[in-house]
Amino acid sequence: MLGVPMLTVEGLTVALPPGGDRAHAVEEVSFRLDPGEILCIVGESGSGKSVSASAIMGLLPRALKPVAGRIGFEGKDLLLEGPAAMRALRGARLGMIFQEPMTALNPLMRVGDQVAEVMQVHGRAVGNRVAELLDAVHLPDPTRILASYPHRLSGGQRQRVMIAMALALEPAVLIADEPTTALDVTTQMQILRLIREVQQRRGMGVLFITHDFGVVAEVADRVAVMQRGRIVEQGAAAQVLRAPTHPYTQALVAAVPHGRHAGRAVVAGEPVLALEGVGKTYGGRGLFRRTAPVQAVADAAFVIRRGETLGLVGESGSGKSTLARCVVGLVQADAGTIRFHGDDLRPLSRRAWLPYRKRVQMVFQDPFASLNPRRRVGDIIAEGPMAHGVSRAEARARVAELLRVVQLDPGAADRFPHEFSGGQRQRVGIARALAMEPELLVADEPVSALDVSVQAEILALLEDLRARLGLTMLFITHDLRVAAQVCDRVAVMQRGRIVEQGTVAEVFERPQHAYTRALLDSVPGREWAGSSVSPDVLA
Amino acid sequence: MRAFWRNRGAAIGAILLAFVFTLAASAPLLFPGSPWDMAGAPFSPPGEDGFLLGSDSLGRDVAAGIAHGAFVSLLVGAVSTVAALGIGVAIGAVAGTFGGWVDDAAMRFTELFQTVPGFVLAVVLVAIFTPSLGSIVFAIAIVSWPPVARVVRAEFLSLRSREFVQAAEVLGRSRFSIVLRDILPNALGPIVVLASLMVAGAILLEAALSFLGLGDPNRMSWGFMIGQGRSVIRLAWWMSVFPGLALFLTVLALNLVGEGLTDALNPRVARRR
Amino acid sequence: MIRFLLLRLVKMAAVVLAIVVINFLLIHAAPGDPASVIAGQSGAADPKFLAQLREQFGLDRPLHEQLWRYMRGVLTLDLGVSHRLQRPVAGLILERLPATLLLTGAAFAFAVTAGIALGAAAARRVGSWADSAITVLALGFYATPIFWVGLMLVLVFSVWLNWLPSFGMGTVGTDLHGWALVADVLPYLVLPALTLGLFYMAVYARLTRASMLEVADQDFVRTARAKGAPEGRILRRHILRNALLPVITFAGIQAGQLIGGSILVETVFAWPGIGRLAFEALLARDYQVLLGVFLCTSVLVVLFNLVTDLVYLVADPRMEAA
Repeated sequence: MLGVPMLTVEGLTVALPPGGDRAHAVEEVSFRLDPGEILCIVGESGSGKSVSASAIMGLLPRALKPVAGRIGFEGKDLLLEGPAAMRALRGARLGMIFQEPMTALNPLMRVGDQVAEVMQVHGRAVGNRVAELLDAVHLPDPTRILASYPHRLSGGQRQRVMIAMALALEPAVLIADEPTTALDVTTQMQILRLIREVQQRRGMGVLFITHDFGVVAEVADRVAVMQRGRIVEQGAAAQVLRAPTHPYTQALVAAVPHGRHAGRAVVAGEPVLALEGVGKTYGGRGLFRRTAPVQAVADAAFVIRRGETLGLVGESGSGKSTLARCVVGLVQADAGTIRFHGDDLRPLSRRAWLPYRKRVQMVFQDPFASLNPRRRVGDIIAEGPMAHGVSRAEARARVAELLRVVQLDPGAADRFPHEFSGGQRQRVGIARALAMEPELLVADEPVSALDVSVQAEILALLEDLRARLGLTMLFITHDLRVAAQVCDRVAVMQRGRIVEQGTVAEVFERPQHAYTRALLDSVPGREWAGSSVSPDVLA
Repeated sequence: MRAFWRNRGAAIGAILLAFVFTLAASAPLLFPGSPWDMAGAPFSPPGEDGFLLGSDSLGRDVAAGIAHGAFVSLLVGAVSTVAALGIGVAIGAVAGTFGGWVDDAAMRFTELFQTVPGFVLAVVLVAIFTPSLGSIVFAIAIVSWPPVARVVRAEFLSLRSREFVQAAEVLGRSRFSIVLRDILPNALGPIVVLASLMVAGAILLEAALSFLGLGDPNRMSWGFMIGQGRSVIRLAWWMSVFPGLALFLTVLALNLVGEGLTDALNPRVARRR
Repeated sequence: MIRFLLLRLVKMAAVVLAIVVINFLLIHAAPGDPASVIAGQSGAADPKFLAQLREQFGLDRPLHEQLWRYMRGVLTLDLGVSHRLQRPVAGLILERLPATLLLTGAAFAFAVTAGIALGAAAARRVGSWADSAITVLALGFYATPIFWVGLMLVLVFSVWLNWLPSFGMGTVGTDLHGWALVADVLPYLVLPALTLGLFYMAVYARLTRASMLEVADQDFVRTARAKGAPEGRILRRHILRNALLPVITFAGIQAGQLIGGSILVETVFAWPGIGRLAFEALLARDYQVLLGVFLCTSVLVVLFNLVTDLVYLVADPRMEAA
């Protein structure tokens, strides 16, 4: 596309309230958006990408003030427009969709009324438009959906409603702020395709904000990369993705889980963990409550041999986390056997579990929730061994060594968790597990709450520890690229069942089950990843 | 600007509270002798006959009554709050730790006490067990523990599902140590805030009981004084106005301190836009 | 929906039953002979009366049999006899109930409307002087003992200004009906209803303000802004409706306190409701009446809770899943 750009941002600078870690949320940001193109703004958390989008919409939080630059749109400078003029543009000429579809709709209003509201506030006739719009975003049975309340809809369906709402008055520009981040991978792909489709059908310009280079590869025509409030690189998607010039972009691209298998030798040690027929059903009883029972895990079976890493992959609600919690005894499975070196752990009492606690440990997902905010890092790491009879002095003496193993400064022991970044906290969580010198490490989505560059560091650390300490690992993840990279074998879960398992090569190259194929098809940016330097299993 | 005002509010509350404490502690020095004794002519208006705040229908000094009453208010407020905290924390912690049918039973029990009109129950309890400091404290504790139990249970439940508590479980630490080191310290904030508001509530309840004539007959209290002034309000307004003001300021001070604590311990609530 | 209602009714029955048991236990837990407790300490002199009471309550029988007898009595609305007035307690309470319902109803209506209006006004202009004034006002009423507010209102509006009557419920010695009765009672209602309502107005104002600020931060409000909806519409259609849900919940929780507060207010204003009845019973140590009032107010709270549950069910579509 050529001609006049639809939207131009020039030298946009937005001040942060004084006392923050930097003076400006965004600084000297310039880009343009042409009709009929998708421009992706990529960056890690705190890079200022969402602030840029809010500035265009005139929806900046009160604490943030634009101090320089102009935003040109349809002959006006949006930074100079008053509230009423901006209101007239929002919804009509500028549409926006957000990250959290679960909370972005008013829970007390019918879906149809919420879509109709866009037309009502801009003084247009509603007529039959709502049903047409819901149909246009491929929602099944629009007449039923428009009469429903949001809680009846799934996350993907709600995001479609949001898109229908944004498209209602055929805006010239659509701003999508991480619209698929909260969605499962298969739903993500459907929404990405929908955005592409409506964008092409209507020739809109789309400003697409994301942190995920896979998503960028999937949808972008052009890319702008942001770091700490500044755009460090921009250009055509193909060029930025394949031959990044700025060191930060290069680092980010390199950190994307590449899905290439390390190519380790096949492991044939004795079985460490063997599950058979494991099941867990929630709900049912209660004195005054009665809920429909939910089968979280059904008939799960797998074996992990010494030194092996088994990946448990699946979307949210597939039961993979519940199964991991059954293995460590946080959740009591109600069927099957969980044999650890031949001993069935499932029926064990709290007390009988104790000797196994040293041998089976866990790393958790959320580095902000997994450390007690009121205890010092040294105590957090030492308290496991101390609970098993190691003297305080001895346990504390090992803390420094453990911190070094996870590549943290020994001085960290005297500080509190809130003084650390997410990646550093995750290292503390790993050190806490390693303090017990476990044989089996269960890692529940250990990198999914982290920025992509930090993610790569933690994955490298885990790989290093696995090799050096001979750990056996059960690795839970929703990200197939991560699974392909760190696991020897994978088990795919869907609705509480393991539908397929095998070596990484078998499962990813020759998937047998339809669901596995659907999952693989939905990995964003497969073609980009596939055509990069070396062949990989996700190609 | 708001933050400043709020802090100022908490500061005013703390100063007022300190003043009430001093008054309670120095009452025997300021007004030696019993506040029940006749000290001059009945129904003397404030400032006359040597009465700073006037005298009542039996010639008792209103100012002396207020000073001595401060002690009763603070004592009942503090002791019954401690008692209610004891009951509430125990029931809430048991419900939140064990879950299942224990939780169900504990919560139904709590709901029952929350449904029952608390003040009416307190009146019945004090009346049947005859009014005394002991029965008053007991009655107030019985009717004010349910919110504590609910808050403690909710905190325990939410903390129990937090990953750092699960990590402690996986490390094999004992239940007791987990409750003591991981759960209680993190649940303390809301409990402290609630407690400061409960002291205020308990003081109001005690005043209401003694207003109805259910106060400890051996202790002068603000509620009793207001009750005495009720029937003679056309004659001697000062008899009900001044004890009421004392009550108002004390409760206000406690509420201000409570709000300050909420802001300090729970920055999420104190967000400003 | 039907299941929900049935469940609620079962729960209500359980609560009422539990309160009957508490009542029974209270009579027996009191120091001294249950018969003298029932008779009241002042009326305890007559041994013949005591013997009659022992016979009536079967106090010589085993405890569980006494409990059964007592429960059967309550189920047939037999709440015993007031020794002071020598009349059945149930009749006394029913006679006084309408006055209490009128007072609490009026106070509740005032508290809810004024509280929500003030809270919404404060939240809309957060940080302004109006917000500060409303916040300070709410804080003040929150800290004021309800019976003292009543006395002060009497002092100002009856004693000093002589605008409104200070006690009773209507002009003594008149026999009015229809609108004339309403016109006669209304001035008597103003001060008691205001007294009882001001505290809860403060509670609802604070709650509404906090709840609106909370909702204003939620994602769907940002969605509404992105649609280009004007602020007034966002406030009414998106923020206020969602912010009122906790207010409904809280109204249910507060019902017990409201009715408890009416005892104090009725005492101050000599309002002839069950609160006043309880106060008179208290003075005469007429425990049968006191326990009857306790049971009656508990049932009122349970019924009120049922109503708030139903309102919530209608107000929040998400409840259909529960």
